[in-house]
Amino acid sequence: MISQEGASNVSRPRGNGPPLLKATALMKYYQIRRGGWLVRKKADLKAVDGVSFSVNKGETFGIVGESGCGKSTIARLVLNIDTPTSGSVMFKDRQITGLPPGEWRKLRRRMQYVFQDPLGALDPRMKILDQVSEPLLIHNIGDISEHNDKTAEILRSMDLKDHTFYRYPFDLSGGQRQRVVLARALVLNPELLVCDEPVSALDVSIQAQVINLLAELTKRMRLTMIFISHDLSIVRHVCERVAVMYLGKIVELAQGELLFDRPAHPYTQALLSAIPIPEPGLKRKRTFLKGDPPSPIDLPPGCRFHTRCHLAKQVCKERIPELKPLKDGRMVACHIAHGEA
Amino acid sequence: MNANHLGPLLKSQREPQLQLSDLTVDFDTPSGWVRCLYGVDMEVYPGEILGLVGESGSGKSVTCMAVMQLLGPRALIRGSVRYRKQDLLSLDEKGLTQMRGREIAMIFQDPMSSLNPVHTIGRQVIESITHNTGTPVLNPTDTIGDQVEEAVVEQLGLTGQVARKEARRLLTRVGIPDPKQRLKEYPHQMSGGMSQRAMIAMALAGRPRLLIADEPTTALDVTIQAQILELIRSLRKEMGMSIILITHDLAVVAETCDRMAVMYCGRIAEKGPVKNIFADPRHPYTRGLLASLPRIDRRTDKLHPMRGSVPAPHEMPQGCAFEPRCSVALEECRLNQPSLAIGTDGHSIACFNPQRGGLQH
Repeated sequence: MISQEGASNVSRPRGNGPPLLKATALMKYYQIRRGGWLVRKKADLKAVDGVSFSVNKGETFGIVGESGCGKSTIARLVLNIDTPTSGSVMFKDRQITGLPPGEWRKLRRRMQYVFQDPLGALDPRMKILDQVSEPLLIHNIGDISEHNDKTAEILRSMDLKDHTFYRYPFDLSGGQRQRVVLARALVLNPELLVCDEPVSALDVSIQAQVINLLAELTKRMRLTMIFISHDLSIVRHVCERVAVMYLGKIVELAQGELLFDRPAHPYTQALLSAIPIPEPGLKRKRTFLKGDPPSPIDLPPGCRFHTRCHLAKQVCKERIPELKPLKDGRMVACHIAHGEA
Repeated sequence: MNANHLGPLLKSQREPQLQLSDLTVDFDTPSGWVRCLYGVDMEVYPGEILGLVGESGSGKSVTCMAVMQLLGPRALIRGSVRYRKQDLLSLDEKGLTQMRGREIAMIFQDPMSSLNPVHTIGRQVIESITHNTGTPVLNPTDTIGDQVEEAVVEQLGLTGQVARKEARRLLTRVGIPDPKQRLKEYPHQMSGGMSQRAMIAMALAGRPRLLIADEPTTALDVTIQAQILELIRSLRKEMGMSIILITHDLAVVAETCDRMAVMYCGRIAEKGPVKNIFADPRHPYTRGLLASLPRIDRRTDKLHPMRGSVPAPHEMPQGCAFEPRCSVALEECRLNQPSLAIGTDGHSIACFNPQRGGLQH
């Protein structure tokens, strides 16, 4: 269903050696019950349906899409919070799907997760310093005094003042909380950081602070980051390569500049043209999408986007388009873009 | 996109439809009185879309809730709210009921929690229609015999049949396909975008002259946001409504509104025609907001965030509330509160040291 040859094609623009993370034909179906309460019918909700991508060392990889497209599910699959229905994830040439829990515990040090809502991610009854040093305790790294030194150092590097160390999460502002969450993720010196909507809950002026901090940290610590967001303006600013998802599938995967300046998939085009630009009176051509995305339980046949696509032809209703490279190296899953219609 | 067909000059000669003067709101909290609005002056002209921008806690929602008087008994509202020569703050409960929905309607951020989950969309839209057209609330699911129904027609002017027809018309107008079926459905059967359309249909039922939309697209996906904003723009054109659009998204303001007011900590920092403010932002806060925005249509190397964060309501500085975060603050800013100075073209700024020239972008 997915051309894996092509996937490694685009994802190796720099560095040598294997990618840090490689997902192959990942699928996650959730079984749900529907229908009346007397006769229960079972159905599959296809949250992620055959997704392959790879992330290179030191790169910031963006996953974008609207709510329900499966972007957070991918994060959960990569970090083994959920087990995939099928498919595999490789971390540094090692298969990590289906590893025993003990192995995972060792791996988790190297892969960390930052959630959207910082208040929900922090323990309300624990002081900031203790929260951030807890991962060191769990993974048995150094002794207590080392913990405190290391924690204080990382908190300071997040622009948090010393007096906040002994406070509780509710004493802090939203931006400070998200920096605490980041500190806690980074205190273990991970190789991969997965950020799921890290700034969506923050105000505009605070968003910029956290984004700049993230950019600086990834550079300084040579972090590899998977950045999941619905805000494409931020993704454009942060990410080097971007995957656009629609209903559980990647529809386009390309270098950021290429994707944002010359989107190839009609969904990417519509998505980009729907985003407002802070410049009054700007004339631009816009494609409005009709209607809502179909339900991931009753997926349309053929291309999942054909029900809202203004270019859709007969073939789009019949055949599922493959994600394969165009001449310029990007990957697109669209019959029209590939000239097959 | 920005239908500024009336022009700012023409507008300033016209009478504002809604005028807030020195609007102050205090809340009675367990730890004493907390002030949320500090003398807000704002006006809405007929047929315009006014964007009310600010970060969370800046007082944009409180301003509009004060207009509708939905703040509850713990709020003390002072100043004046004049709507078409009528002082809304002096209205009694009956007067307010007359005003709400028929003159000024409001829609909220989260359509899912604004709709009642145990009633059908139809029932809720019809309730809004009967309420706002002077008919006492009938239970539209009641089967009324023909004779009774006729009597109702004579006495009240609107029957279940007519109300149902009107409901279908409204749903069609806001772009809900298959309205007949949709009227029978419950809110959980509709998507977020459809629910927000239903909310807009309910707000339109009373044919209001002013619509207050409080972050109407924040909970929605961006492709749905584009649809809803387009709907709001077309409704303004068609029905000649004026609209207050509350949002935190400056890009939405740039594409949708004619005039805008930027709020910070319960005060208006800058207001004026959208074109003027984006072309020549004067208040350091407005400039800071614009400089911290990444854009979809171009590559930005570095964002320029403002330092610090919004002070809590009980920790307001003595002088300008923005002074601790301001990079061009003067001694005076620390001591005194700048007042909103009305400039040319209606571009007003509350700042002792307004800036000029391009942004760092």
